[in-house]
Amino acid sequence: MNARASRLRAEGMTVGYGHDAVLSKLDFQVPDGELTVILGPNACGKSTLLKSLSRVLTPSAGKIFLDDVAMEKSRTKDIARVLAMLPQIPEAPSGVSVADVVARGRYPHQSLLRAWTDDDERACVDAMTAANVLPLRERSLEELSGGQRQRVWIAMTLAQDTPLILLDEPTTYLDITHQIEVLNLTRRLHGAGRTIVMVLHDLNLAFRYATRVVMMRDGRIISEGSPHEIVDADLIARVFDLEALVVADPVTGAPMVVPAESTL
Amino acid sequence: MSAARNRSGGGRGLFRKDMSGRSVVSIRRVIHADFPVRQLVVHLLLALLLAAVAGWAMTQGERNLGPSGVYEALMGRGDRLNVYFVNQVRLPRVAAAIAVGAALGLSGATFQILSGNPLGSPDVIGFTHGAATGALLQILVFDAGPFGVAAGAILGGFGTGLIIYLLTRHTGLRGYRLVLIGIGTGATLGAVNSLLVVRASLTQAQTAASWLAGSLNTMNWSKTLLIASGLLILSPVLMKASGPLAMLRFGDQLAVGRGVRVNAWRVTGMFVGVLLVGLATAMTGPLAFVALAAPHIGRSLTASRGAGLTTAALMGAVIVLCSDVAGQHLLPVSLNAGVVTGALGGLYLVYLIIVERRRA
Repeated sequence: MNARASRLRAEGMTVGYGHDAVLSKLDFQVPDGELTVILGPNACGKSTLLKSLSRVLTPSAGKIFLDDVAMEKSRTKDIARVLAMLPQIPEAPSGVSVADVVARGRYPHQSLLRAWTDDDERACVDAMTAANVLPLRERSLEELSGGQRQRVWIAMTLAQDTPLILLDEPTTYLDITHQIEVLNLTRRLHGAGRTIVMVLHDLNLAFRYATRVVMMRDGRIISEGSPHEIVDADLIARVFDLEALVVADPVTGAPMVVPAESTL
Repeated sequence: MSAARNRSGGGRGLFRKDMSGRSVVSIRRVIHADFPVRQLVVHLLLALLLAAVAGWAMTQGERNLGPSGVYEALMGRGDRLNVYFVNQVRLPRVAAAIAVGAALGLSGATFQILSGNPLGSPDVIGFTHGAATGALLQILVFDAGPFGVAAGAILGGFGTGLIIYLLTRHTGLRGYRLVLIGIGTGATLGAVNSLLVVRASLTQAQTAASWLAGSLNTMNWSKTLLIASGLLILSPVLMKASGPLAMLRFGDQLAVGRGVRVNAWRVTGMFVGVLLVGLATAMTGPLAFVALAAPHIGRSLTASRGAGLTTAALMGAVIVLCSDVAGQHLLPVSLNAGVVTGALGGLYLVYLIIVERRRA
């Protein structure tokens, strides 16, 4: 089997806050055209990995390549036309409207001389339609529910119109209905040809939606591949220290983790 | 022309595919109009207000001239004393009020964005006090002229920046911690300023104290040109910074993800902000609350989606000019502009608290 094409990859990457390295000499590839979900216990380094891949954090050693060019050698605006990242729980200044927020996604496509264009307009309307927030466009972000707000942030990320999209826990603080709504949106985007990487906490939803999962623990990748192929009780035990049954999801047939009786 | 472009641009037919493959109705210009109408109207009104107040201020003073008298004097005709008062006293003072106000408004807007906190303006987080310390040292110790005082104020501002940077190194320049550390630093520097005045000789202390009260009484063309050229030199940087600063309002991570060179713009913004507040303070002494209130009021008027720099500059100019004019001509006793801005700022804070309470 030949190696999968990958526009985004890390080589020998070491990242940490202060002196403690969270990730140490990690190699990682984002295969094109996959919906990758990174999973692992708290503090395993999954968010750090996502932040490093999107240059929010700078590795102390190693390199990250985007289209075979080391990221630190590219202009950050050029990167932003290929790679969009949505941080966990972004902040918004008070009083901004939904349309204001979404329009921010066009920043990398604009310059001092090139103001708002029809392309910008079209990308924003498309993004708001896809995220189902077009009717909310005049509303202030503060008036919206958590689920609506999260969809607005995703719309902003989509308006950036990039082939690669990284989402850091996009379902946090959402109820189950809104979680499904956000995940369905990511699935539609993946179906339309985008490469998506996200960090999630809910294993069963992850296995249901991911075409590829990456299981992490203590800053290392324990296993990666299609959920059908790699997920079993042994893997869950190795990654989470949790004794569990892995059964087929009655709806989709994807692996489903059910904590064992001994954990009660 | 833009309207024609809107109608003809882009879409083919009413329905097209969106990025996830569904058919959607094509809608033009629902996000951004070509011209932010409300913002333009507010800018125009503020500019008109400035022109009207400036024009009226030119007629007022010891020699009350009508509009035609002012015009004659500006042209250098008529009574020689009138010509002198209008060209060498009133005009530079009005111009300085506008320039100083604009500098304070810009500095306030920049710092509030960088600190991510509406209270993070240079007069709250100690930069004004620091600039005053630098200026006082020049006045009291070195007996310097306007350029020396300006240099001292700017150096004082940068010194304050260094202190605050060292104290917030571990937590970053955002949020309430910065505001608290800034207030503490400002209070300490305020004490240093008082000490400097107390230790000075009587005549020097008088000069220093009247400078500390913040006024435009001693404005002349050399001072006015100094602050105006500072603004002129920094304005291209500010224009270029307004996009990145507008993104920084959404936090560093989000800005990085959209391709903003966050660290470079933070340093640039800080540098420009300190220069502006230093220059302004050097000219007039500390004018309280202008940097804090101007960006706020401006933003609430325009509902601006951007960095709001132009609005803050205009609003700052309006506040300082009106305060100076009111202090000179409208109140029963003549007051320094700094006293008037202080009083207005206090009222504004009370108003803000009441509004916030109603909202809560």
